Amino acid sequence: MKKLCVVLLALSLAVPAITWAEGKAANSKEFVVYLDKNAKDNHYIPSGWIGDYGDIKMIDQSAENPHTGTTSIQFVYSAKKSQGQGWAGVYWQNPASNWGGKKGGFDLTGMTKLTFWARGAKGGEVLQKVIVGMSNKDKTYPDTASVEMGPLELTSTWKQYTVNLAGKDLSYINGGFGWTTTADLNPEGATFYIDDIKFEADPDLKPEGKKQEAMPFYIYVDRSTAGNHFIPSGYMGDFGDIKYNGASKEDAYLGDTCIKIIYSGKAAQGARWAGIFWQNPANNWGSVDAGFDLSLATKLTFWARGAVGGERIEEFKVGGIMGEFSDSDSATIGPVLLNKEWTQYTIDLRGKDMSYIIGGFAWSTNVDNNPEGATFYLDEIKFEK
Amino acid sequence: MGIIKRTLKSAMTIIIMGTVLCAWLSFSIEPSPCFAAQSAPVVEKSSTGDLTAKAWTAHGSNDIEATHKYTQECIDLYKDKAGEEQASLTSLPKNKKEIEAVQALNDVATCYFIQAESLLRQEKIDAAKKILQLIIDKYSFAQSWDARGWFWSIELAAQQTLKKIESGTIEVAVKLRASQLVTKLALFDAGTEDVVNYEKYGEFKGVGTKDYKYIITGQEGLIKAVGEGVYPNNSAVRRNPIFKQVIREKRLEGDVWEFLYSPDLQAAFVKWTTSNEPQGIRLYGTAQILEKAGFISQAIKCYYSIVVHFPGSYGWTYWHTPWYVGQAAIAKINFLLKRNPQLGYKLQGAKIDIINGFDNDISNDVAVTNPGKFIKVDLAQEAAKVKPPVGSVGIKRKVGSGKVYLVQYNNDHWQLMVEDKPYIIKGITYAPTKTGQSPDDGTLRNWMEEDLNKNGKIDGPYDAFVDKNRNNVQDADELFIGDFKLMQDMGVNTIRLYHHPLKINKELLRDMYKTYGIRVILGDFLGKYAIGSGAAWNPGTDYNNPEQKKKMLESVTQMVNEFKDEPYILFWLLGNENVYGYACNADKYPEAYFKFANEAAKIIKSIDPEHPVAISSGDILFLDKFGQNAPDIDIFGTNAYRGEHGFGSFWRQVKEQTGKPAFITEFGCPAYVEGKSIDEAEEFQAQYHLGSWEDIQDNLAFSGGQGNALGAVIFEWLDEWWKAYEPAIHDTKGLWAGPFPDGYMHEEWLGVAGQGDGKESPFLRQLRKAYYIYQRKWR
Repeated sequence: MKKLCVVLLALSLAVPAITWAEGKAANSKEFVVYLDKNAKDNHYIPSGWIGDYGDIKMIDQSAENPHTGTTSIQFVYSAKKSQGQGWAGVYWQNPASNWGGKKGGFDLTGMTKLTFWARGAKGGEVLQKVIVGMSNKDKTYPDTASVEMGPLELTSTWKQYTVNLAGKDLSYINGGFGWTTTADLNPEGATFYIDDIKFEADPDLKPEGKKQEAMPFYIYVDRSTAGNHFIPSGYMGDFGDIKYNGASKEDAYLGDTCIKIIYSGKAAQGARWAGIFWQNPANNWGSVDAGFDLSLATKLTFWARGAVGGERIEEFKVGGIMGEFSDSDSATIGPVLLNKEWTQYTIDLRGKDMSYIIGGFAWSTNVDNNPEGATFYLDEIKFEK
Repeated sequence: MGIIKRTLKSAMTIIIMGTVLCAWLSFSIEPSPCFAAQSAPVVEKSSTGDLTAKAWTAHGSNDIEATHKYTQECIDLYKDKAGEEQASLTSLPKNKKEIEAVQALNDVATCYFIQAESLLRQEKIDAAKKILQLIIDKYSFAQSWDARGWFWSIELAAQQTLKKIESGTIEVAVKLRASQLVTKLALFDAGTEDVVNYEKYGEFKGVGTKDYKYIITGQEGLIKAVGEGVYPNNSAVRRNPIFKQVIREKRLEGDVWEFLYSPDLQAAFVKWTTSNEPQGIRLYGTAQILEKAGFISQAIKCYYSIVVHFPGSYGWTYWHTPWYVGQAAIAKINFLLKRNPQLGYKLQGAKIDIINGFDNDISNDVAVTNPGKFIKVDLAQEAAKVKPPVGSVGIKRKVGSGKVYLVQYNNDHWQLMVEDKPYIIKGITYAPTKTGQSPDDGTLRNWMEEDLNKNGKIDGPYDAFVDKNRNNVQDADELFIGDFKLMQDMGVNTIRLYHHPLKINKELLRDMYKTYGIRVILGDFLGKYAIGSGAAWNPGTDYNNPEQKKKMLESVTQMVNEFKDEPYILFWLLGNENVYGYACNADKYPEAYFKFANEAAKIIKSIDPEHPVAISSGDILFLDKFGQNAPDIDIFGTNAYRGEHGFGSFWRQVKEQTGKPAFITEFGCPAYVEGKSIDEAEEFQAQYHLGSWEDIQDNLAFSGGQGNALGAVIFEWLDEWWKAYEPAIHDTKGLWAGPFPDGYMHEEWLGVAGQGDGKESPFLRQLRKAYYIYQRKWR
């Protein structure tokens, strides 16, 4: 009880300072998101816990090897999927818990980048992404920009990361900083530390065009690697019929793990078909300006096998997401009757416009052709030259 | 009256080609003797279906107490489950399988609806209104089965009943589900080739086999050649300026299927080209939009890309029967090339067969594909080609020995012969139902006996007049002429009738034949809707049950004995879409059904060798089983609603699977199209009929096609106003989704003649454009 009171008191003290700071972010060269707990320059509060919020523990005064000052923030992500989401994250907001419903935030015009420092407890922990600004256009006071970067594989020593914001409209930023990660990327959980988060004005920094990604560019290498660039978040059709395991050790084609998918064919939502889209970022159906420039790719290859052989996948697909930010093209193969043995499949991308791809990969199948359901495995999904 | 109609419509009224049967008897639900004999019956929770059926029966019998008992029991037992099922849905289930997956929801909502109707009957208006509102609030995705062949939305029915209580009308605003902006499509990239040289960009392997495959080796070139919307070009549409515009303006909201009929061609094109439907379906939808937008060459390319790349793709009809997209695409291409001779091409050799494709199981399908080739056609040369005269081919065999028989020529073409002359069936379904009459409320009268103006003549057949200026009254120059004469003028030579349940007026039919030259195809339902078998509605006729089979054969025998010497009989007809099931199990045991039908045919022939025997089936479902099990049935007939392009591979498939002649026992199109004027809608209807008849014509003997078509029976002569439930109102409801001008069947608008505002029914006729199309074609 005593601890809770202290926290509440701290919050109540912080609010007037933050309220005072609202408005344009002066002409300074930097604007602090968060330095140390109770630092007078803090402008945002790590109050927006999302996804499996029950999987997150936050110690905001960890004295264990801070980057600067006396403390850093320690996050412990358990990957227990407490809310059944498979992912979790934290947003720094102003005021606390403001998702855009009330006026808050800051005009950060002039800032060109956000920097922060991070380290993992052991090294190898993976943040799915870090975010500046919220994607909340449906709210009364939406952020004017939402920029993402990731995934990031943390090292055991402090390392500075930079999010390029040059050219972005930062006139109203309510979600100063955020991170998310997933249970797939960190099946055993992850402990990591963040410190010294701030916006900076660097007039020499140029806007970051989407760079053409080098090939090969992986969708899935193995579980919990930063090389996995898209998230299997877009469940479609009878999503209740799908069980996804991104860390199956059942005879992986390469490496330790592969993807195992069990499709029950029970038509849980009555659609009689189901599928998954690998997206960037998670759950992006074209509402977020993200994705990758994969223009150098001439094909997507992957390995697949059926548990018994003969499972029919109606379609394997690249791209095709439609929305405010749509994929620049789509390509498909199918139907495919899977073999019991690992078999490599190729989606031909020659002549395709791969310059903007949010939906990196997808499969779909249906109950008509798999009345008893289907179990199948995928591995080594990658774009190649 | 509206109260009773809905009570009856779902469970007890059956319509077949415009005739109606009240199945009160067949619907009785009584314990079978074997249950009664059990000394210690196990008490089981009644199913929702049983309780709902009992509730309909009780309500139909005006037993208020029993109605309340059964409905309340169903509600109490299954209300929670119904709530869960409603919560699991995000939109109205679209087809039979999806609908039947939420049976508790459907039946609980139906029981509430029956309760409301019962309360209305007791004049407890406020209580009824509360229940109707509850249905609207809580069970919006519930649907109820209508024995005529479709599901109806209980929410919509509740809205209409409420509206009727409050205002006396039933018109409820239909929610438009796709953009209604009228736009023109401009193609950004029509491709570099009008007829794509596929050999240049890939390799055809296994042509004409189940191993058929087109392997793309030059995708970049193929993308450029095919252009926008055609596989594998998915990027051109994304560069089209309309792409961003329709997204920005939020014109893509709604179900992709609704966009097939949207006037917003730009949005429809983007919606379909980028949809997540399976490739074959997506391309078919895209091609339809291109066709509507007038880009015929691009549409043909798009249809053909299905044949090349996805020949085995499939979709499902409203009734969850498979629909093979590749076969439909070939039919569309042929139709478009025929309608656009200026393009100067024909598709030669294209053929897709689906092994195991006549059942309802997709998983056993194997496609055998020959994509064929586009061949340049010299129109002048084609016109100059002389067809071989009929006599030069020679007759292979004659089937039948009476005045009506069939001949098969040495080229395997067939003709129906009547008194030694070829007879093309130019048929129509004739049921001149007076507006306001309905079998649902017991007001339907027998049109073969009705003489409302007491002039000693039957009304429709002899006293109908043509309202030439469509002012809904009989002007001085609009004399009584009668339907028989009008049909004769149209070129009709045949009508289709069943010998039960309405009493047939032989004298009337004799005069129809003698004076107007119109003959009759006379049928027996052969157990469909449990008619003639003595079975209860649920589970319906069992084609493995010896007792029921005996009764059905007695019914057939009685028909033949009674009518065989009537001069107007053209031939005998067995069944009506029995293969779809519904109060019979032909859908589950098609072999047993066809074997039994064959038995019936043999009996008919033993009594009457003078007339052939035909079957009336449901499209091509179980066609292979018919071919294997019914050697004594002479003609394959079927009800088919496939679209304005006609019947596609139907004629070829019948030829290959059965070797028999064929005819269409029902086809037609409503003269109502959502969002279009009456004049435009009539034009759509006329074009649909024209396309259908020309396809039949092309497949008559010695006409260049399969040569096994004998003709067809149009559905139908006159609009019937009771079909969508309010017999005094010309209801525009779309009852089921299908290949019609706005995507829905408007059952009350199928006539080639309308009844105007209905006030001068059953006499007034407004002849539609389709009437005159046939007059040109048939006479």
